[in-house]
Amino acid sequence: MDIALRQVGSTVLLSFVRPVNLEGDDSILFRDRVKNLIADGRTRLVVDLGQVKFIDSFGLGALVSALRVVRSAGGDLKLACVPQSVEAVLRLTRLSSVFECHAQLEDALKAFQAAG
Amino acid sequence: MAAGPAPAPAPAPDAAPERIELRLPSRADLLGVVRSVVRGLVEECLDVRLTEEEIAGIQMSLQEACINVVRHAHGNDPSKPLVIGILAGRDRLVLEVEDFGPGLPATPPPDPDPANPREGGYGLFIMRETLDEVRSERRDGKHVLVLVKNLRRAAPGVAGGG
Repeated sequence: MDIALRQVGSTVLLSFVRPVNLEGDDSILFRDRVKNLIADGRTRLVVDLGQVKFIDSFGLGALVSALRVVRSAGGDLKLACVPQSVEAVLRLTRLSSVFECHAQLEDALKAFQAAG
Repeated sequence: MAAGPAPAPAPAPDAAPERIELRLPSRADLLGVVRSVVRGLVEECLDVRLTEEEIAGIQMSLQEACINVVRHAHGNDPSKPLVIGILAGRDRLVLEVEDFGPGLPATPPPDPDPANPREGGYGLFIMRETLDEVRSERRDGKHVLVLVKNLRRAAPGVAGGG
């Protein structure tokens, strides 16, 4: 699983380089990548889910885990470009209100800027 | 005596469908194949056309059932076969996922709570939300998770469109 990182001001944008299924062990890789960023003090994160073709309960768990860790470090994690199929799973599992989702990457970045 | 419209014939009982069986090593990286097979079967072999949401729900439920077997019941041991039986009837689709584990927990995890989101425990909830029946059985020393999706059927004579 290749994840590209881009620093925009004080925010880090994480994007999957190619289409992925956020499931099983790949979810753990993603979660650990986010935790490493947080350990480095980077706690304003935007996760671009545009390339995620499928997500299972392990993928959901990885997103929740990342969110909890980043919030406990005083930061936040926002989702962007959430595909319809993933949005449906978030809604089904009552997680759509837990994550702040933005249609475009720029919107998520602006939301961080607006928060100061 | 005026002849009214003939009553609709009572639907024939669902004949026992032929069982299709998938048998794979217990490997999480093969579950995409399982999802593809069940999608293909649902799209090609059923008498009714399911919505994309319904198909995605079936795929997700099967994924959750299988990943539980691979990870928990079979401990990622590829020598233990992951066996999935598929019975595509006219009235319902039945998926049977077999394993050599202890079966479902006696106490299912609580439903997701947005005020306190958990990092796990979504699998059974997803199955119960997207399917019509989820039950656990013991057969010949094995545990079988039975997933049932009732198949909607359009009322006869009702044209689609609009």
